[in-house]
Amino acid sequence: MIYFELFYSFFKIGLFTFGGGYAMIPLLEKELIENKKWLTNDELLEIMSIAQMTPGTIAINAATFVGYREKGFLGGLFTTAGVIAPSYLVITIIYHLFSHSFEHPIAQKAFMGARACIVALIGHSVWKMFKGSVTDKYGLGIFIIACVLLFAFNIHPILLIVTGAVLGLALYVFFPKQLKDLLK
Amino acid sequence: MEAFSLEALKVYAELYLVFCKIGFFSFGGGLAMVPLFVVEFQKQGWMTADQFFDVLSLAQMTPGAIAVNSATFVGNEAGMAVGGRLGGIIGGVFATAGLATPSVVCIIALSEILKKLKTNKFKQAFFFGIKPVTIALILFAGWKIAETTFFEEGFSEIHWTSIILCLIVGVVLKFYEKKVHPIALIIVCSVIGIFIF
Repeated sequence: MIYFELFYSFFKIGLFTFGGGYAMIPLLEKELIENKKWLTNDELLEIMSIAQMTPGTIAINAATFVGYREKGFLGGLFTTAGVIAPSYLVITIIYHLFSHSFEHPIAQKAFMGARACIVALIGHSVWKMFKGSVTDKYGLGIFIIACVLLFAFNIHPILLIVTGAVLGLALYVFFPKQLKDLLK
Repeated sequence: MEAFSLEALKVYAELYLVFCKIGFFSFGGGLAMVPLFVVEFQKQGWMTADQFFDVLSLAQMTPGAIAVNSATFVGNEAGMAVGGRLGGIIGGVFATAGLATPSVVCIIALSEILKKLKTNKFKQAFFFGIKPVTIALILFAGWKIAETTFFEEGFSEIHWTSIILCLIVGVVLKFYEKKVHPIALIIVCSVIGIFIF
């Protein structure tokens, strides 16, 4: 059943996302693009773009978007419930059974190992997205500007997204000729 | 049953509404919500800022989005105060559902708008500008995780074992990308972590 499939895919993704919404990207790529073929690489990047400029957490936004696109309102509910359920279960169990603490040395060590793996997974996803979607020198220019603003000036993500949107509209809609002559 | 007393029901409703509000006014992901969390919890008397920072470190170590984890925890805490264990479990549901509601509403509205604009040139230019920014943000998120995994506070110490483990995973991904599932890699690395750290 498709609704169960949607729920289960996002349950798995939620269960293995450590360190915030962006850490789910490698899992989304494997599940949704390679295994289920629900999305293409470029669509996933579009969804992540939308997810981060919409209010709410990125993980829930991305889940709702994919579910709604596949199977309408009910689809969106099932993917959202799927991505939330592992969080709810794990935290509720820890809260009631382990008296609020999760700082067991073995858990800490396992977590360190998982994080090292996640860094590699995210790096790999970034490289694939970069190759697939930054196809000309204007895209590359926007990417470099964004990196400088983020890494050197720690600018707020929303300001950065606005900057990207303004540059995109300026280059492709409002002043395509003038700007491209200028940048030649 | 105290979990269904009038007082408890009032707390559940409050949890739902407060988390709805937090979800609606936070942009740019989980950690952007932290200041909103702290202000609201103090106002409601659910938790002090210090208690919340403990919750936050737990939320970062457990699976799932940081904001969802924090919401579930705070819902349990506030619910348990008025309705015992069952109250906590119910409170967690209301808090988490509250956090998800604005996402669901906004994303569905936006999906409909985007459908109408399928081949609009403004939309195409907009995404052309935003996609490289998104990639930069994902890179930055990866760097933030790398920073705390590979280095001690303020780069005073380098964890070479973590860096080597990460590089090995990178090599595996380069050559066997299609054959391995990221979940399998995460599990294997967690087990390796228990032995090498």
